[in-house]
Parts: sequence; C-alpha cells; structure tokens
Amino acid sequence: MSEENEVKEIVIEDSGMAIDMAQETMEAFIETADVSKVYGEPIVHEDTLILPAAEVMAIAGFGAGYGSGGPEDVGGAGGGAGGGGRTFSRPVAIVIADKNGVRVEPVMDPTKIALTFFTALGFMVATIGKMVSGKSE
Amino acid sequence: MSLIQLENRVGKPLQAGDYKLLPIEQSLQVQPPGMWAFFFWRKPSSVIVQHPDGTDEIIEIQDSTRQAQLTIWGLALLIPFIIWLIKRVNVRRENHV
Repeated sequence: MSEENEVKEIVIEDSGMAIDMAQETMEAFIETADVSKVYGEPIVHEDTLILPAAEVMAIAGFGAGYGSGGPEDVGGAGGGAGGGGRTFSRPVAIVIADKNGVRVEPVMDPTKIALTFFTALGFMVATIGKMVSGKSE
Repeated sequence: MSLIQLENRVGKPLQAGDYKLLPIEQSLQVQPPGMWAFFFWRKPSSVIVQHPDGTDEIIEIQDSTRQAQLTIWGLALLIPFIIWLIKRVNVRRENHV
C-alpha cells in the first residue's frame, strides 16, 4: 500500500508563470494514475505471470493570483500561486496466469476491515444508546 | 472537457503463455470546467482472457475489502433502524392498550 502527499507553495512574479506551473503540476498529478498505475508491472516467473491490480484515487486543487497598483513612481506588481493534492492507492487483487489458466485472487486488508468494524460498532452503540436514553426521558 | 467523465479504459495487452490478457479499468474523473481542481478514482474492473482456441472469457475483479466495508456499514445502519422500528411498533401497541 502506498500513499503520497504533495503540497506546493510558490511565490512568483508573473501570472503566466503561475498558470504554467499550476497546469504542469495538475498534469503530473493526472499522470500518477494512468492505467499502468491501476495494473502494475507484470511479474513473470517461469510459466506464471502475476499482475497486481490496485485502486487509485487522487484529489487536487490549485490557485493563482496577480495584482499591481500604487502610484506611478512606486507602483509594483506581484503574483502568487499555491496548490495541494493527495493520491491514494490500495491493492485490490492479483491476476495470476499459469499453465492451469487465469484466475483472480482478491487482496483483503484486515486492518481496514477492522477499523471499519470498530467505527461502525461505535456508531451503532451511540445510535442505539441515544434511542434507549430518549425513551427513559 | 465535461464535468464528470465515467469510462472503461483498456490497459496494455499481455501475453501469458497461450493466453492473452486485456486488463480493463473503470475510471471516474471530476474536473470542473475553468477550475484548477480535479478528483479521479480508478479501479480495476475485469480482465478479458483470450484463449488459444480463440474464445474470450471475462473475469471480474472483486474488491473484497470494499465489499466487507460496505456490508459492515450496511449492518451498522440496518440494525439501529430495525430496533427503532420495533420500538415504534411497541409504543403504538402500548398506546392502543
């Protein structure tokens, strides 16, 4: 399982440069999740081929601004851009192709399931507790 | 570019012995027009297997972890709802008596 986090904060003097940089960063983010990221590099061992498959999710946002003003003799201009994003990846299954055929083996994440179970249990206990206490009032 | 794009994409074909594999992924992309923001979610959906005799077979890829999570949350919502429903029926019965 991998998790990446990227945050960019830059100060620049030209709005065109800000736009270019934001565009480039956004394209780089989109490239992080092409088909080759969902299906990893195949592993070949003798007659067996193993193809890992993962779920990929990404969210990102960018902004840029530029301004100028002041009297003619001391007037200045400035701009800035910033953005942030995050990508998540989680293994889902493994495709195995060998002499016997092709099959898909699921990848279970017990930690994620346990976390979900305890969160849901907490929600359930709180909801039922609220219903019971509501009756006694 | 549209706001929401939902599509199936085909990956690079692979040769595994006598079999040819075509990995398919599902992709959801949300990119508001005119905004520098996006969200995308891509997951493997199936593998098309081309057998040596020329027949094709589609093998679905199940996300067991996600299915387990959804089942747990489904039960966590259903159980309190059933308890609330039973309580409501009992209160109505008591009021009638």
